[in-house]
Amino acid sequence: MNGNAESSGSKEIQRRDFLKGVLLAGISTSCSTKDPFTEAAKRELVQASGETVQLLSTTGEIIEVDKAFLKPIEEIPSTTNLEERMGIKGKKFVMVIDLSHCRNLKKCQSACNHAHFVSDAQNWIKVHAMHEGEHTASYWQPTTCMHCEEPPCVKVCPVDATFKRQDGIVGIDAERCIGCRFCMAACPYSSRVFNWDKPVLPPEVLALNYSSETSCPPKIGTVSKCDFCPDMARKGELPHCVSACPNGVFYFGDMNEDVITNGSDTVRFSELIRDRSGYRLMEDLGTKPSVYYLPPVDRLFKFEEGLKNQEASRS
Amino acid sequence: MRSLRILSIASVWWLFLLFMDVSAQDAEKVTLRLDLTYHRQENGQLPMLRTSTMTKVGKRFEPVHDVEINIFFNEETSKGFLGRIKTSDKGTAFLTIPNEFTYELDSSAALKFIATVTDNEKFEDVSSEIEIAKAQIELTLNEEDSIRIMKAKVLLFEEGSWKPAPETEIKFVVKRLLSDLNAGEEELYTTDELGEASSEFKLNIPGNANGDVIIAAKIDESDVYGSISSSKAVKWGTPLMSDNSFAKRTLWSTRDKTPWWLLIFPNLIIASVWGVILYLIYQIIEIRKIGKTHKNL
Amino acid sequence: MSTLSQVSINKITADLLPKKFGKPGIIWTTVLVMLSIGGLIGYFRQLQSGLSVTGMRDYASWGIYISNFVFFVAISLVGSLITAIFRLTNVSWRTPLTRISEIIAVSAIIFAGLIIIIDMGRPERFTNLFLHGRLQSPIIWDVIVITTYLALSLLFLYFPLLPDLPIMIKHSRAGSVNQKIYKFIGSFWKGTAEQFRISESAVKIISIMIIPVALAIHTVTSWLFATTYRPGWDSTNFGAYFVSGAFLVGSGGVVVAMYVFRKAYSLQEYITEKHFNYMGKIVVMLALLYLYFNINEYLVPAFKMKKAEEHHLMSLFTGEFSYLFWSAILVGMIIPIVVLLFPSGRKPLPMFVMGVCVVVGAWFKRFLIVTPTLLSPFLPISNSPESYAHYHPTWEEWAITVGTLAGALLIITVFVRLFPIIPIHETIEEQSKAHKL
Repeated sequence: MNGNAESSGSKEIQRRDFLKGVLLAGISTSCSTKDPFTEAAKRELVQASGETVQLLSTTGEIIEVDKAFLKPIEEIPSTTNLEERMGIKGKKFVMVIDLSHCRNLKKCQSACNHAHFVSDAQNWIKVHAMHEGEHTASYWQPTTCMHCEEPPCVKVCPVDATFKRQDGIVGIDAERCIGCRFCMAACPYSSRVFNWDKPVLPPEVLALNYSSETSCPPKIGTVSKCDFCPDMARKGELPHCVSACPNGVFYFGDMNEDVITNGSDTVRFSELIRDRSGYRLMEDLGTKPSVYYLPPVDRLFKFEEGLKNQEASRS
Repeated sequence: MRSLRILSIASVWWLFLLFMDVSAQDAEKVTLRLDLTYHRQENGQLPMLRTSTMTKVGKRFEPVHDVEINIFFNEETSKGFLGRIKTSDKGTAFLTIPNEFTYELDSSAALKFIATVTDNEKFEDVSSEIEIAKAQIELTLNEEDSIRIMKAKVLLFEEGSWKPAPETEIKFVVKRLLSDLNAGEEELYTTDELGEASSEFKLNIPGNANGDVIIAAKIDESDVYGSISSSKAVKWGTPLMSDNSFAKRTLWSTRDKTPWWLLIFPNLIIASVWGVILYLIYQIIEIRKIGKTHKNL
Repeated sequence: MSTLSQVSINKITADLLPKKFGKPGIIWTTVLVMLSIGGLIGYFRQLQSGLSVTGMRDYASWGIYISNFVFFVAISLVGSLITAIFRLTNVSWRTPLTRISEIIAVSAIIFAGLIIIIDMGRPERFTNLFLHGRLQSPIIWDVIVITTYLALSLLFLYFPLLPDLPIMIKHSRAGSVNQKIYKFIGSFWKGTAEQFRISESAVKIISIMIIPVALAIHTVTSWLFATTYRPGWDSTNFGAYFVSGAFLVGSGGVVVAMYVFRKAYSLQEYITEKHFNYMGKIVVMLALLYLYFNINEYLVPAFKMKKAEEHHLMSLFTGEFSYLFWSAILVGMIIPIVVLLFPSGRKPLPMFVMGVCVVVGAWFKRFLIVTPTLLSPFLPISNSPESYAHYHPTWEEWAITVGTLAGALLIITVFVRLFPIIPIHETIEEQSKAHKL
């Protein structure tokens, strides 16, 4: 078998010819938004124009198609470091976490870890088993970065490596971070993690330019944390945790639009918070989080149901 | 017992796949669920096809990524080939119908699309087919005596011309960044014999800085029409107050926005202390000069 | 200096000139060099594999490096205490102690700066502190005050050294490396009245300036902790608490150094029992002061037992860190106070032992300030491996930490090999004054 793509007369479809067509499809990780691969794909497309590629039909027949019709992945304009530091104008991202629907499934966590290449043993989203007082109710409480309006972590950063954007997001520039970990000490929500080891990454992710909107690729010796997935918002999509939750625990949206969604329900932010007595964590500290919680009342699941998921946690 | 339960859960196409499984040459391949849906944002725009791939893991379906899907228009031939797409982490992939097909799209009343997965290393061959009746929505927004009315007329392309489509379910929404908010008094409206439905717009909702909001009428995931919508911008929202907090000098802003007091006082102190240090270093130079000119006794 | 006979001048000079190391000196230096090399090996490993070689993890994100940093900053405060405060308040017996304390301050502050870089995940980005530094961050304040304090301390070491340099040049072998060094840094000192006038006024300026700067380095270092919300750190008392602790450990360090130099260089005539007696009283006072602040820091929150504080306080009082906590209080404060209250406790040897207790106690006290707080977060430690909830420093961490301590001692050792640890010129001056009376 040789890998010559021009052997169109051959009756037998060669696997390698086949794979050539595949080249044009992009990698599909969340890190791919600023992908130089797109450029490569475009060039490939121009070159390939007029040539044909063979496909197999469902009935087993060979279909010859023009390479020009092989679709490259959609190109999303890449954002500059400055744009990422400024954030999206006119937006104010907000999250609402409905504690009455959480049963510690940790789908949010695994989707988030997968999308951001969070190292083993670490999590950006943690699901805490809360028992605040001896006779008070137990409940499951997922925590993300709170994206505080007055973030204590940003206050203490010596080099502007972590910054507050105009859309409310607290981002991290891992190319700037010196790894002093003062922000970790300053964060009362323990939402920051440190890349103690060299992150284990697929080569195509490693080759990407760092983006603070995807926090990819993670860099050794720097701090990372939940970034509210602004790359997804730019594409009009929800953060990975929101779409991964089967119970609709996470609502995400723009406070300026006053609308949030958990993927299936779209509601007014102000009405939801008013009607279900939404609150924020550690209000007394004055950090003014962008993440709101709905109290664990009228619960969908018993607390105990979540206990069996406790063991499934990565260790 | 268990197999019975599985069968009871399985839908028709799953049975179809079971049949495929029997005829497959490679028994180790996994069966795949392939869904194909049709979407058109605005009248006159090129439609988009959305595919999703899932496979059964335990009792539930999980999305499958990196599956290559071939999309065809009308027939599974090289003439009808629209393109090939690859599913994302969420198991979905999109294809906008290429310009080359505009004429065919415009002239036909019924549109047939086929998605196939063939010669995949991991999965059985599978295909999915949809037939769409070409329709469009005309949206009109009117304000009279401060009553705001949204009216939609659904038209169906039949025998070369657009005709009203009665008994069609339609929604009125306000477009937002990540999802659509229901704008009608009810969730769903059904068109009358003229193909029309209307609702009052009562929302008090923020728009952009001018108070503009985008209102859309849409048919959602209809088996007959696919998902189509039509939208218009209108000044029915409350203008968004501009928020200049980002430009403020605060403890949590960047170094170019350091609060004045934090710039002035520390720098005054630093300048004065280092001024003295420089003076002291100058004194060393003075001592040195004296020593150099002084004759040893 | 005419009133003092040339014979006694010659004796003082001969007594105080730096001497070649004897056997103990060579062994001591070799051990320090080896420990420093051990530290370098540890740091090399850390550069290779990142901070994962340490025992630090997401919760205990600061460990013995930062404890060691706070320790060094604390002990460096002594330079300003002995030299500046005593000079301004005309404490007559200070002369033999000034240079000892100043060199401790300089070497400690150099290593404090180094440890900050050692603790960084990205040491090669150190320059970002200058390129992108933002004044809102207490770390930048710390960088500024540490640099300032180092500059002032070096000047404070240098000016009083000038009058000794002609003596050193005269008594060193012509053409030797030592003599070249002396000539390089002070051949221009001719001892003219004008030179003395400039030098004395400079020393006076530094004595005044260095006190607020020294208070600032320790206050700002305390703010690295106090500007956060964490239980155990969230205290308005922290600046004063740290400064008082620094005074204590600094004077403890001086006592230890006094004893060692006195023994090693036979300086009994210059560093007398009187000096130990006075220093002993000062240590008692400072230990009481530090104890006072400790009671404030622990008793007041313990009385309230706020929920967030409870875990932290109980880990210190009865939990994971209780042995270390009570030992540090006992060894670092209570025992020195009790022993040094008695005149016989203020003799050189017991003073030395108490000095060591104070310094060792103070090192562990710094650890107890830094890490237990981080292991008592507001939200429970969830979805993390068991190891994340504890902190056990690795050998690399210990090697680096011990290496920095050895390195600081090495600087002091090399310094005393080159320069008189007791100012010769000043001692002669003082003795002639005493003679006149």
